[in-house]
Amino acid sequence: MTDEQMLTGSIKNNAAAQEQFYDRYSPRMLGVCYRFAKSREDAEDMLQEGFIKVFAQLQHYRSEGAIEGWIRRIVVPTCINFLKKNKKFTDTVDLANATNLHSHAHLLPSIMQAKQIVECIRLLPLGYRTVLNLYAIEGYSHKEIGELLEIGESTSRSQYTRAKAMLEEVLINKKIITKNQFKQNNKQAFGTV
Amino acid sequence: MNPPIDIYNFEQFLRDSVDDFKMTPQRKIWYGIYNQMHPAKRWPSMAISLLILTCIMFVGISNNNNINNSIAQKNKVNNNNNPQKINENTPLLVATLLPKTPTVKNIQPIVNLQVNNSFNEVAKEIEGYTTANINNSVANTNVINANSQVAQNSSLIDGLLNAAISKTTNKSTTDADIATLQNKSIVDKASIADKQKASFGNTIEEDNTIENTIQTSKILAQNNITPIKIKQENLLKSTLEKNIKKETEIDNVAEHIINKKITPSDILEKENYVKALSPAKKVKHNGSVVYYFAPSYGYRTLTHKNNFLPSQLLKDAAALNLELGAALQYKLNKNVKLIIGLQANYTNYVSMVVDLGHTTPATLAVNNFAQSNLRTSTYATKIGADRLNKTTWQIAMPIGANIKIVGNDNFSWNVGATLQPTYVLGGTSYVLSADNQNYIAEKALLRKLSINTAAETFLNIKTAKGIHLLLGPQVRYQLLSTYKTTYNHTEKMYNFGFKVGVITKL
Repeated sequence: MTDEQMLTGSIKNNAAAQEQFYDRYSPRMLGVCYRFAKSREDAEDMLQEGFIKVFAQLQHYRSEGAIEGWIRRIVVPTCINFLKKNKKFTDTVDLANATNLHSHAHLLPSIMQAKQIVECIRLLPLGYRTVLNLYAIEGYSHKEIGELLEIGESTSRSQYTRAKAMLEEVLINKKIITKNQFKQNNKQAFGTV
Repeated sequence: MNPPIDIYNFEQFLRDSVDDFKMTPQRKIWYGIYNQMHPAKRWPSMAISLLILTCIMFVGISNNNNINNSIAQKNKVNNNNNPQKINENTPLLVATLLPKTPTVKNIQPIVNLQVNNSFNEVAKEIEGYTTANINNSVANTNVINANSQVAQNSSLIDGLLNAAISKTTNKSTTDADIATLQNKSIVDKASIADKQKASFGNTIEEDNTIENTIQTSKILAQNNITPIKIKQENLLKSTLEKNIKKETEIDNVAEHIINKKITPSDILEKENYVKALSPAKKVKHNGSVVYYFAPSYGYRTLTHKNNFLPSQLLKDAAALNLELGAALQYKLNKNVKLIIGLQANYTNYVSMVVDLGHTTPATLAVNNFAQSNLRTSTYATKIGADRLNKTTWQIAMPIGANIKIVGNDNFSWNVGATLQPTYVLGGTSYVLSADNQNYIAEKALLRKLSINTAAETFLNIKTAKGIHLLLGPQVRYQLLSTYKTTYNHTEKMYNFGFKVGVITKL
């Protein structure tokens, strides 16, 4: 089945085509959901909800960009809605609590760098992690984040700053980066925040 | 130690780092999506369940009709034999309190009250029963007078007694019938003898065939070959071939595993699978299934249709009951869920019968509305225990609704009510005798189709592992009598129980 057949079949609610479509894009999308979710179970719930929406809206896809990006634009808000719906998007923590994270850092598996970094991100409190994911990885602006999370733009900025600082601590503690490297990077990066 | 990465830009660094991050979802996630996208495919199983339930109900109704027809037929014959037609307005109750050790004098009219289809059977039963009891009889002639219910219905009893006496008078006719039967038996025996002769002719032909078979067997035996041995050798040969084939397959698989190189992506996938060892996936929509059981304490109310109170000698006690089932819940809105399910009920209560420790003839009076008359049967009850467990096994289909009073997804307080069309599979049935002094085992009077109703209040608690538990008290009440309308008592069961359930989302 070619990509076009797969896409057309999925739009026509053809089960075989939809399965192939799912098989192709679900692993990466689960990775996205996992970064937002509190647990693997939640991530799979998000994925399921996301793909149901994707199939329902696939007829509106106009082939104007990469399909993966289009799927992301549906899956990410689904993750946010899931967190809101299940009242998981309430806990925030200040930097003082970040020290607690270090004691857990040694529990991280040291298998792959991507996996390690994702796990480091997941160590952050949910509120910080969500802002960090949306801004740094998904490319949302603080204005968009504010609308999505129903918070002020300035709140989004401050949360991101704290999240970034906290992640730095974790990454340094995990010896993925050194303190000097991070400081150098901050000099360049803070201008864009 | 220098880190292996270069942080040129924090956001870019993160993006690049996690961009290729993939996880393999469990297969059941796809099934959940598939079910959501193609919901019609779920209906066959529900349709089959409903079909089975309909069949059970149909069979139940058919059985009920057959039993009623059978009783009506029986009574039609009895009416022909009984010279006294019973009035339509006759009270339902006829009672004959029998002596515990009946005498020859009083046993004959009593036994004649039995419902029989022919005089032959009546005559045989009288003969057998009387002979059996003569040896053990002790004079006791005042017991019938002691029965107040007999006094109330004395005219009716007189009629039935006259009928019985007239049946006994016709015993000479019965003897003639027996003689006819004996003659018939002789003719039948002659016929059988003819058939045996004919069969003998066939047997000679069959013997020739057997002889041939024996010859063949001898030849095989001389060569030390038996059919069993041949079979065994073939079996052994085929088993060996299969084993060799299997070993080859195992070798191939092992070789494949050994030669396979483990890549980093394999390790990542394996780690993801380890994480995936989580509780069963939940599909998000409005349907859910609740599996539950409810131990309960069951008892009954008993009323007499003629307002006679049951004897004070009757003592009953509540006993442990059980309910086990599963129900589909459909979320109608935020607070209301519709329910339909299937459950098995075990009902039970105990009757104390300390005073009835030996065989006692007793009369059962039942009403036959079809014939507008009265049917009486005499039973010799055999109570071998001090306690009678009155049990039924039922299958019910609860249909109703649950309403959330207060709470959220994690913890809520709910109330619910269901109406439960019920099919009674069976049970032990001990019904009261006409004089309310004794019990008679009569399964035919058990009502097959009934309706229960249940009300409950429960807490819906979400555990740390995401499992929803359902805990709360429930009360169940049987709307129709345990017995058919022909029985002149109305018994309604009720239960107080505690329901424990687990809710899984579809």
